[in-house]
Amino acid sequence: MRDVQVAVVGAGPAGLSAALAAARAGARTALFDEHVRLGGQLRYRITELALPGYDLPVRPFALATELVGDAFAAGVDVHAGALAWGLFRDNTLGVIEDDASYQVRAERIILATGSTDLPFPFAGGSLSGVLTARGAQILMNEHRVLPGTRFVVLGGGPEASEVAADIRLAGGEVVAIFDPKGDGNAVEAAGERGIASVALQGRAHAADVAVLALGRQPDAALALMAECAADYAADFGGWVPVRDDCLQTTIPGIYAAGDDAGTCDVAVALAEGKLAGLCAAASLKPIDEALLREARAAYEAIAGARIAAARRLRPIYVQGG
Amino acid sequence: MADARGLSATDGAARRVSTHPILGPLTGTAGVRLTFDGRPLLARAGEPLAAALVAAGVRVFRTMPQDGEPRGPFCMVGRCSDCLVVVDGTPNVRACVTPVREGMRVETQHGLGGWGSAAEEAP
Repeated sequence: MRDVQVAVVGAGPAGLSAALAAARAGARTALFDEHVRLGGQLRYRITELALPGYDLPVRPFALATELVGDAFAAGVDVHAGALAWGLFRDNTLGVIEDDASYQVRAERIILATGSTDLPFPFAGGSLSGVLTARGAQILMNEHRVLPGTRFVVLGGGPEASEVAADIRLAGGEVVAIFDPKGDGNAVEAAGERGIASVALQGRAHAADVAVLALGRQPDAALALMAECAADYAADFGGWVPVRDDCLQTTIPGIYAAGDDAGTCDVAVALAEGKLAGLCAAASLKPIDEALLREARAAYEAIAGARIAAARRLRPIYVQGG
Repeated sequence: MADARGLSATDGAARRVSTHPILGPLTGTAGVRLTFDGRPLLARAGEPLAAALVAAGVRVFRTMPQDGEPRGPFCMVGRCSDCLVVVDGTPNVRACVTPVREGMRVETQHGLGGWGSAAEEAP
């Protein structure tokens, strides 16, 4: 059993921001991420982001490097390749790291477990060559591997535009971008050992990769396991934990920040992480009130409009009952 | 030799993005040696097994227990189990989140896989 004051699960934008804020506010903070490389979605996204507090647009992968460096500098106890697989009573996390299992007892836990791409059922959709948008981005942008030559992108939102641009930058050909609008019958992939063609509304395209860019779903498994109260919000991506104005869930001491509390964007994830980190630290010992006020104001300044925009997009991704 | 799309077939990898307008030239070399179903491959240090296999043109990582349907990487974040392979005789290894290691013996996983290597069982 290890004891920490604040444990943060997930080292994407929300988790890095939360760990940094908590550590800088004086809390003994540990950060856990199942992946060896830290940064979450920031690792493999390359399209510039306009973020509050930055004068110039930022490349996500550069931001990941910056935030990870800041976290180490702030004294965060960073555990990469450490899977937090369970959350139990008394705010105890089950963690697997280096083939060893241990428990972490934390006074405060911030869940920043992010989101995963929505799957989409269609004929041939389980064949090799069908990839999620993030899967394609990880291969192309993080590991410099182009998974095919001719790509069909399924989706009609910003994720589809982004991954299509990434494919072209990596040297692939985008033969079609198609929004099935929830209709699995509009798409059919075929091939022997992997896809060789994709038919869109009956029209066949020669393609060896089909990319699903149909939106994301919150990965709130730990919050649900801990029995935090949750709401089903289809336009927010699925089940999301209920939170108070400190981003604390209905279980005292457990906070949720970023995509696992409703899929939105990097700016909101950063702002939520900072607010949750400061609130968690402030609940342990008094911190500078001005810091907390600023973080709350920064979050409130952007969250309303950005979350509303994300939720407006969502209905086109969610399949009808 | 790089083709018109900037893809290079050097280092045993036909699908490396050797140049990139934003990320720049690919630095370092693929120097980690492993085998897939007995065939030698070169991988880049630190990358996950799935990246090395896709770069080498491998499409089928496993076949399904029910109907033998071939599968390859789908989510690349350790969630979907479509990329399970047998590594050094251990089945159900997620290729997408397992870093490559010098000398790894990787095999297609058929069905639920079994302990021990098919290569070891061969006479």
